[in-house]
Amino acid sequence: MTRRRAPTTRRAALLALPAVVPIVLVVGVSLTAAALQSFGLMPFIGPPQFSADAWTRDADELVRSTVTSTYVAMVSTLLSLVVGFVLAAYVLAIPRMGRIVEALSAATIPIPHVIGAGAIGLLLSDSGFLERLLGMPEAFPALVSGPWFVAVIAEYAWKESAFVALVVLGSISRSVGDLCDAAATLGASAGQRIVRVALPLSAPSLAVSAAIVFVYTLGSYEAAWLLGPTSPEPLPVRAVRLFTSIDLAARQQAMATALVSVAVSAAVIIIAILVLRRHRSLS
Amino acid sequence: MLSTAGGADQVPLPYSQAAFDQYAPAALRALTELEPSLWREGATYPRDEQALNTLFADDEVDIAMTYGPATLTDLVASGALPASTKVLTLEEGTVGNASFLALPVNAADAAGAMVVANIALSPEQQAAKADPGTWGQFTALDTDLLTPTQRNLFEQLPESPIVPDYEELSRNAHGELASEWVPALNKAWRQDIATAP
Repeated sequence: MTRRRAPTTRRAALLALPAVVPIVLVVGVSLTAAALQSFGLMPFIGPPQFSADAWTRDADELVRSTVTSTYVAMVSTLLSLVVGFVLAAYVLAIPRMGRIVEALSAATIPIPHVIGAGAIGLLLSDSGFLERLLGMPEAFPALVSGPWFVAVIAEYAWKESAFVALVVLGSISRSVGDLCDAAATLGASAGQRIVRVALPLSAPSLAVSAAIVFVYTLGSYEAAWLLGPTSPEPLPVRAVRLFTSIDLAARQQAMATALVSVAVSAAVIIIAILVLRRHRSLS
Repeated sequence: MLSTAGGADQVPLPYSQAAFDQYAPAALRALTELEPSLWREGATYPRDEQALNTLFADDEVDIAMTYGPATLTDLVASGALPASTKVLTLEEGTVGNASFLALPVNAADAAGAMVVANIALSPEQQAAKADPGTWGQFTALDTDLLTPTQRNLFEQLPESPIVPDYEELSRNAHGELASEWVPALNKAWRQDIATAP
């Protein structure tokens, strides 16, 4: 026997429609178009003809791009979470200096990533500001265009840690004060209050922002293009390169590449939702 | 590739798989052998011409390339490139082309577009384009066919301390290969040179 839905749920669903319909339409149409194009059913020129060629040709390159993108997104996300949480803890612990740090973090957010990437490039490149400041050492590491995407990750971690800090602060600042006071009267040290009170409280917002940061950095193009090496290529860089190739047949591969990044993002979002659900059911 | 093939006239301009298989491997080999002398020993490459020119301006590489040599005068004068910048002319000649204007077959106002194209090709506009203060691109006109007054416009252009004149630069110049060569060479380069450890 199925239970009838309460009328309030239905009304809530109706209220959400204006937000849901455009998202479903836009995402649905673009994903369908991308999938059709990747299978040759919506070609830019010529008659439509089904082929999985775009997926199988250069599959090793596609796999390498996927691994590269996942690596960059994962490290960037981890760094942003750590730095973001430390920033948030600092803001909560030291109110006066914390307010300045909070304002600086908030000011970081509206800076476009392409400007941030340019600035990081000027700072970290082989003949950049840092290298000149250090007096032109011979063995300055290859941060920009280097094999480990250090400059790319630094850009994402810098911008996204500010975002993580603000999300965490917004979600726990109301409740954390009283709980920390209570813990302090029970004899908890500052470190214990951060690890035992602030960290568990911010776990849900950390998980949500982790998913957002991961998906964003996985799909982001400009920093990886400006600061990354020629090879291996992250997924978005490969997709744009193939899409703008003078060989129109490469567009199929571009669409396949874009869809792989969508699939990885979707998988990560689903994992994040599952983790959040479990966390909620435990608490 | 033109160089390893033994001259520009060796490689056919239209693309074919057979011609690619015949001429591309030697060129890719030459690029691999060059790697120890390249920026970061060929572990990575500047992403485009602009990135290469930035490396040149920052003194990280000793040589860069450009499709607009006449713009160098202005770049050196403004300090964007070092004063010691010199143009290297190759014995074998360089690949050259001319910018062109095209009318799409479905252009809404073809007559108007033709008027614009005529203005762009007029000696006055071409001389203005060749002025380094304006753009600094060589003219597409054969100045020998112009009237003396028109030719005078070009002769009055300032002499560049850096860029040799057009005759010297275009000596042995040869045309570009068909565009179908580009994706094929690009892909082979990406696989064999850029990705190789």
